[in-house]
Order: sequence, then C-alpha cells, then structure tokens
Amino acid sequence: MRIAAAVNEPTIKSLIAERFARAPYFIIVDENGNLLEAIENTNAEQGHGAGGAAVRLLSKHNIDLVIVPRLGPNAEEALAQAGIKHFKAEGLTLEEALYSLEGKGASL
Amino acid sequence: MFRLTVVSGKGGTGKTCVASSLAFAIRGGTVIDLDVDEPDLGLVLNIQNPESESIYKVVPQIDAKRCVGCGICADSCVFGALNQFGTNVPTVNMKLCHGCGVCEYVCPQKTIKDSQTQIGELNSKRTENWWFLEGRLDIGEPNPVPVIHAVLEKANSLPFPQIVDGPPGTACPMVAAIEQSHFVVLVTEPTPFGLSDLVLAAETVHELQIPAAVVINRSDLGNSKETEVFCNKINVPILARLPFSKEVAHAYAEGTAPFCVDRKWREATYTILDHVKEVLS
Amino acid sequence: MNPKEIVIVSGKGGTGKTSIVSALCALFSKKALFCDVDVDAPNLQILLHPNDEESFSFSGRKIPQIDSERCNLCGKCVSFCRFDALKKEMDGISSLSWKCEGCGGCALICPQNAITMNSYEQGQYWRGQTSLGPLWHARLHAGEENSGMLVAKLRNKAREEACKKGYPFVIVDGPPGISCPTISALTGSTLAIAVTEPSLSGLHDLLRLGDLCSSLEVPLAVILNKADLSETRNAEIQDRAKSKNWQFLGSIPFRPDVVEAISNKEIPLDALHPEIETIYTNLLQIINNIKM
Repeated sequence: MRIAAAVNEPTIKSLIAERFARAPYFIIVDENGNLLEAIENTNAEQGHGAGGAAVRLLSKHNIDLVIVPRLGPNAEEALAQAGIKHFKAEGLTLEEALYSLEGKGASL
Repeated sequence: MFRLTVVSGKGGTGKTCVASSLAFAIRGGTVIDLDVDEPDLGLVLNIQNPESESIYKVVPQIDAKRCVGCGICADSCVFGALNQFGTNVPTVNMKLCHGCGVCEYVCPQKTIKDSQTQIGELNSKRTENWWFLEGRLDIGEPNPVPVIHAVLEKANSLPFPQIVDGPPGTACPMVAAIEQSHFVVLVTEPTPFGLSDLVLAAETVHELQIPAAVVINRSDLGNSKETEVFCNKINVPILARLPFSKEVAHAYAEGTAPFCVDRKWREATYTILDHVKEVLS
Repeated sequence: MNPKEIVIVSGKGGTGKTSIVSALCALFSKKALFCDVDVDAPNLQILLHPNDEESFSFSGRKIPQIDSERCNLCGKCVSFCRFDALKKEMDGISSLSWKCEGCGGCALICPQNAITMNSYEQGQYWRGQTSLGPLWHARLHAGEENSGMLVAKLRNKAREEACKKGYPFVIVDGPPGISCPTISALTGSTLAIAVTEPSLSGLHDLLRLGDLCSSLEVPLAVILNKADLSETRNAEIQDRAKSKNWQFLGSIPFRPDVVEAISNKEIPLDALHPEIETIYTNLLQIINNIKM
C-alpha cells in the first residue's frame, strides 16, 4: 500500500505538517514505514484551491491513503473524488502516525 | 438624477440607519440594498413579499462523452476549481470557480462550454414611493461581487434618484458597490475603531475619484476631534453630527428608520440630499 | 497539543464584537494566543497595543503586466476578459487591477506573448507582542481582494505558534458578514461565538450566520450585547438560540463606559464587569467539553 504524508521535512521522523495543502513536502511510505518517494509540494504558495491541487499531485503518484493534520472541505471533496482515503494525525510525527494507523487495524 | 451609496468601512456605525432615512426623504426613485451578506434595509422599510429572481454566475460544463481525461483544464485553473484524477472527467468545485473561461479556452477537445449556477437572489418590489431592490447572497457562497453587479445592472434600468445601502468593509465588495455611484456618504463613529476604518474607506473612495461626505453618528459617544481633523485634511465635508439617542436606538431595534422618529435625523437627511444635489449640478 | 480555536463573529457589524473580544483576551491571557482576522478593517490592535516584532508581505494573486513593445493592440485579451479588467486605449492596453481576478486567461490568449502574470503586495501581516500574549494581525490594502486567503494564512500562523508553544487556545476576532472572509475564518474552528444585539437586523443577521456555521459544521454560541435595547427582541433571540441548540453564554447591557474606555484605547474590562466574567466561565465550561 502506498501511503503519503504531508510533512515539514522529507523524513519519517518529521512532524505531520500543520497544513495539508501547503505542506512543504509529501513523502510516500509503505505500511511498514519504508520510504518510497519524497515529493516537493510545488503548490505550497498557490492561492485558492491549493487543497485540490495537492490532491491532484498525490493522485499522479498512485496514493492509497494520505496522512493529514486536518482537511478543509475542498480538499476533502477532492480526496473523495480521487478515491484516496485519509487519516488525521495532527501534532504527531509520521512515525507516530503510522503506529497509530496500525493500531487502528486500519479499516482500509 | 444621481446614485448615492452609503458605506462605512466599519460595520455598525449606522449605515442602514442613514440609507433608510434617505429613502424616506426621496420620492419616485429606487432604493437598493447591496449589503448582500446581511441585507437588512428591507426590514427597516417594511418590504413585504418582494418578487424574487435567481442570480447566477457562469461556470463551466464539461461534455463527458467528448472528454478524454487529459487534465489540462485542471492544471490551468489557478483557482483549483477543477478536480481531475487519472483519466476521469473533471468535476467542477462551484464554490471555488470564478467563471473566468480559461478551462474552456485550453481544452484541446473543446468539450467545455458555459453553464451557470445560482449564487444568490435579487428581490424587488414596487411600492407607492419607490422601487426597492435587494441582493441576497446564498449561504456558503464566498463571493458577493457578482450579486452586487447583478443588482446594479437591474438598477440601471430603474428610476433615479437612487439610494444604496452599501456593504461593510473596504475590500472588493465595497469597491464593486461604489464604483458605479455618483456620490458616497461615509458613516462613522467618533471612536478609534470608527476613525481607523474611515481612513481606509476614504482612501478607497479617493482612489476611485468619487465625491464624498461624512456623517458622524453617535457623535457624543467618544471623541470626534481626530475625526474632524482627518476630514478637514482630506477635504471631505462633515454633513451631520448625530448624537446618540436611546429613542432612535430602540426604534431602530424594532425596525423603524431614525428619520421617522427624530427631528435631528430628518434635518440631517435633507442636508445630505441638498449637498449632493449641489455638488453634482 | 492542538489548540482549541474560538472564532468570534457577528454577522451584523457594530454589535460590540471587538470590545468584547479584547476583554476575553484579557481573561484568557497566558492561556491563549490572539489573532485578528478582520483584515479589511482590523481593530483589535487598537486595544491590545502590539509591539510588532515581525512583519510579512502578503501576495495572493497575480495580475497582468503588458509589454507595450510586444503588444500590437489586437484586443484579444480585452475580448477574452470576463471581468472588464482590461481596457483598450489609444496608446495601449491598460489593466484595471481592482477588477482583475488573476485567472491568467489574457496571458494565455495573447498571440504576441506580451502579457506576464506577476505577484504584488496586497497587504501585510504582523506578529506582535502584547502584554496579554502574542497577537497575529494583518491589513489588506484598500480595495484588494483575496481577504479569505489572508485570513487563512493568519489563522495558520497563530495555530502553528500555539501548537509549538503549548497554548491551549487561540482567540480569533472574526470579520463581519458571511462571505469568503468569514467562511475562511470559521472553517475547521472549534467553536464560533456570535456577538449579537437585540434588534430586528441583529436577529436576521444572526440567523444567516447560524445557517453558515451549521453548513460548516462549527458549533455556535451566542453573546447578547446591548441587551437592554429591546426586551421583545432579547427574548426572541434567546428563544431562537434555544430552539437551534446554540449555547447561550450571557448578556451585557448597554454601557456608555465601554465607549469611553475604547475611546481611550483601553480594554473595557471594568465596564463589562461582572457580565464578562460570567461569560468567560460559561465559555470555559463549554469549550472544555468539546472533544477535538
């Protein structure tokens, strides 16, 4: 499974970014936390609709689930359309979020 | 024959009080509410059962059969209003769409054409004394400007003089309201808040080069000295200084315009109209 | 730990929102970070007196710049623009920036590639230190658009700092109306508080605000200011609040002392006593029961 996370730095120890759409990086890991890819978020400085643009970027990388801090209504709608699930993990590091995700048995 | 718009920068200074009073002083024109987020003028003028028509904004419609899912439209939309994934047909986020037409232009298959979506209502009523028009933004719609434009377009075909209750703030809704106006009345209060917002509003009015005047409401609550100095500096006359009145406040709370219950308000209203006629002649 | 965000709005302007917010800031001092997102007409800084330590430029959109050497006055850009933001004149095409929506269509359509879309400063925002705690505030230049974006930016900065420094609350002084700036101020917040007054317009505007909060799934609480303005409207508002399940935080009668304090650029804490303390206590109780 390909899991993306909105993060401040492209490492598994990074905190989940405060904002999904304008996170500096998205990193892609598998469910075991192995780093697959790191993408710079070129939409970070965009105006309106950055949420949709971020989802577009992720969908081009075949993501199954994205770890986010919180989601605005536009981003939420876009994710639903793109068929990408999301998991809210505000205030956690990516490592902690993955642990939490595993613990939830992840109804995926 | 003029269109006069009442604005305030800061909300709650008495913009609708002034606009409703002006409405009572004119005969045979049109009274317009452009505070489309929270239109209250109709309440004070006791407008019942107006006729209602929808106001639309232009949005794209994509022909799903011809669309090949290339996503060029979504990539070109600066507003992020098109959601397109894989090779799916894009969907339009109506709230984010500004109706600019770029997607239509860039689509290589020419599958996009104009459609429309409702964003508000235009309510109108012909009363004994004047025409009444009101713009009302639908809840959840982010952009009041197209509603303001639609109401003004209708107003252009209705009789003059026209009194407009404008939107609060100093950003683009206020600009959209006053740019088609011949005169602007700025209502303020003698507090630091009132002055701070008056300065911003006056700057915008000045840039658009529209003649203006100021009314100080609740003139005895606070300190009007700085306001007087500012108006003097920018050469904008202060046409009225209306003291706080419990009677006026109570009456307005019940939905009665100050013009109807207070002599000072009546005098001020006629002073404003006389001044406007003089300046514009 | 994620801070709880309380956004104070009014629908109708002039209900006393900023005066009351300033008093709440005083009561929440040390527990909260503050944020004024009424970016068109910011007032909270007048009472909180921030020492502005950091300033930032805000630019949300791009507007066209026409290269007059390349332009051959074909006018295709003028015909394309749906916002009347380009005008053909004798000596060239001029851009009316206050009408421009920044879509970039003119730049795409120009056969001479004479148009580029450029950012520019639409406003500024600051992080200031006040005696009560940090204040994030901003000012949009007169006539500008994109206030919603600037609102979002300020909220995020305040939330980030509150998160990092462990403040449990962010108090947000919101904009009037119900359009883009207010939607941007309320989305995803923990609790909205409407400061209203017992008048016909106050009730009408409160109902529209209530519908907006409901559509954004943000719980709403109500403070009734200038409560002695009208007994009938007062009762009406309290009834409506009950029927809509809005939490009623308290009432404050009209006090000229509040205006006096404001005119001296002081927080009207004494003038709002004792009602504001009751409101504060009720607010804490409600907010502590909201699970994040």
